[in-house]
Amino acid sequence: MNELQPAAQKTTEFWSSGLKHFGGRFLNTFYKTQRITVPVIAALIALIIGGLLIASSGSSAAESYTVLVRGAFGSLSRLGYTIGQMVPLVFTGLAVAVAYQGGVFNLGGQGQLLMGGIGATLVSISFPNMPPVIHIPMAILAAALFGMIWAYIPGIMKAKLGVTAVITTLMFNYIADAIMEWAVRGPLQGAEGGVPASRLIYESARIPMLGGSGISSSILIALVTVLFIYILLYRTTVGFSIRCVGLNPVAGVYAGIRSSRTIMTSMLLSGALAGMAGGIEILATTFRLWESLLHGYGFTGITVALVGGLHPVGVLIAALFFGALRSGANSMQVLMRIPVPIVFIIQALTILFVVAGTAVRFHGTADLTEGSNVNDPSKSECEDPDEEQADAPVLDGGEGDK
Amino acid sequence: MVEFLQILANPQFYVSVLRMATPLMLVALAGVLAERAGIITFSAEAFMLVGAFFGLLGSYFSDNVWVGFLTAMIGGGLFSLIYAFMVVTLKTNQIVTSVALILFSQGLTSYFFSSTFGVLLVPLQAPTLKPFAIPLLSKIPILGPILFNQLPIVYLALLMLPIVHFVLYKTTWGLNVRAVGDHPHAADTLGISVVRVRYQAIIITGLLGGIAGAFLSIGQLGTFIDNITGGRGFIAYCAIVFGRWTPIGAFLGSLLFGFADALQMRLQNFESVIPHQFYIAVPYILTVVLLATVVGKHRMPAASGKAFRREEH
Repeated sequence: MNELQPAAQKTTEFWSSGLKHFGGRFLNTFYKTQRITVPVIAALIALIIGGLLIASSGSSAAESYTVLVRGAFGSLSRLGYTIGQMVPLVFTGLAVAVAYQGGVFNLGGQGQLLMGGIGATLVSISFPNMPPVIHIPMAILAAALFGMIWAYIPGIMKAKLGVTAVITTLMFNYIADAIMEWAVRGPLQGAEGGVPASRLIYESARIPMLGGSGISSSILIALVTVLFIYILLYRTTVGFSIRCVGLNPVAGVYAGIRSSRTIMTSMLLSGALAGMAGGIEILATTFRLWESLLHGYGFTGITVALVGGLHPVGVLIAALFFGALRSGANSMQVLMRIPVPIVFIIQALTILFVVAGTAVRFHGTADLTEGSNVNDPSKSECEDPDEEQADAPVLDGGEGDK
Repeated sequence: MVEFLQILANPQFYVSVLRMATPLMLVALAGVLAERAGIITFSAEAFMLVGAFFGLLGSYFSDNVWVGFLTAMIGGGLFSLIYAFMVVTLKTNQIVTSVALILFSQGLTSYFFSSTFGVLLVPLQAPTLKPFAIPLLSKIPILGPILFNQLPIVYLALLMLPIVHFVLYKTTWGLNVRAVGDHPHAADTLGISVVRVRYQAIIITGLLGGIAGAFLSIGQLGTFIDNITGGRGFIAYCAIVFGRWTPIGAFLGSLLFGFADALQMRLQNFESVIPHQFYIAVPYILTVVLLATVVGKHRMPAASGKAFRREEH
């Protein structure tokens, strides 16, 4: 370096910093569009493979997909059904996204959702003659509270003992399953003929339709929640702490953030969201607690969150996509005799391709694919919330979670 | 309490403990190899589910349970190859990839089960395993019927302990596995192919995961149910963690969970004030309690969960 003339040195510096700047800019734009293109391409490939599977079973793929789209959006009532499928996914997707951004991979959405369903049912079958303006919020609050309680133990184990939430949240799903099975056969059983389900909830607790259109106004609650989570994550210090701890707990400590407290915050928030998913499903769609009706939403939430890039708006779009798939698949089963689980294959392929696509995108450059930066403060700093990269999806979580 | 002692005094109970522990042992012991090579075996749940389904297909269509176990190995092996490709070659996050693969295996098996067999009014019945009594040894009082008059796959699971222990600690390949898991860069410098060792370890987990899954479907039951594994792959993973990444530890961990599982099944049969759903939850509660109390400080392989990149230091 010493043999370089000062002027030449300056020029080199100028160019290298310029290149860096340009490169950074370029990568940012590249990265920003990739956040949309990767999930879209992934979904397309998944749909193509799904089509091949349909074709291999002897049906026409094009015809089947037409049936699917019509089944999802063909009429106002079908749209209403799709939105009914979509709303719980928005909540479970947000639940996974919030926890993931906070460095905890919450796989317990299903259990928290079941508990939320139980909470909402308890409130909505026990208070007659209540004005809906009080009854509905009360039931939703109960759902959130029950979900929160169910997320509390895995959260505290992660925050205080460092026990991986991946296992504990999963185990709590199975425990919640058992509680649910017991509840609808035991204390909450109330359906006619001993069917394992609760009795119908009071009218006053039911979430009404939007002006008799067949579309539940639960979509409004979902939209407000998306906005709320967006503001919370990206415009408040609480959200900044959550994302900071998720990116790098050690750097978070230097920034004066207490990571165990933040982990608890994001975990409780996550549990509350998943609980609301279960509650709203009962208040808006099923009107009674019925174990099998809630199946699958919790796990699809993981797909929704990851495909949605862990961003609230992404979650909303992904939830619409997967909700439409679910409702369209029912038509496909009835009209084309194609088993509904085809949807789960398409879902899983989408998430696999998103994960693979994210890895290829950052190949050899960033640690975002595996998060080995989690315990190394030198590698990554908590970034300013206003900076463009601050809302980067961190497909890691696993490391922070070990 | 009396019922409890009654259960424990019955030799037949220990036969079922071993049977419940068998799939866990198979996966956990194979998984120890992958874990020691730095690969999280959370995805074992997917390998098992695919194995359970392929096992049923093979057994049902060939009318031979051993063909079923062979197809289960192929299914589990192929699935583990996807996992290996993603986490080793593409270097994706191992837990996220595992979750994606588990969801994929659930969709795949339930779609193909319903598209192959349609809606079933009577459950399918495929050939299952029969106990094989080892001459002489099975005549030993008490111990004989428990240990030496078992299903053949149970013997395989029991044999896995010495085999995996020997391979891991007494062979060059085992040394490579441990090197790759603890110091991949040092191993790489010494000319050990990190990628190859990790692929091998994952595929072994897939093959044995396939057998373990098939043990659930065609071991005794002879049929397939959606999501038949019911989290046993996760519990096997816990057995590894609980066993501190050693073969003997994973073996004992599997045995403990097998014990809990067999116990809850017996307890369910007794009339009591406690609802039987509580017993179903026992193994899962046990897992959480163990993770909270016993595990505490981990001694996990240093490079666990980290993809290997040559240019890093």
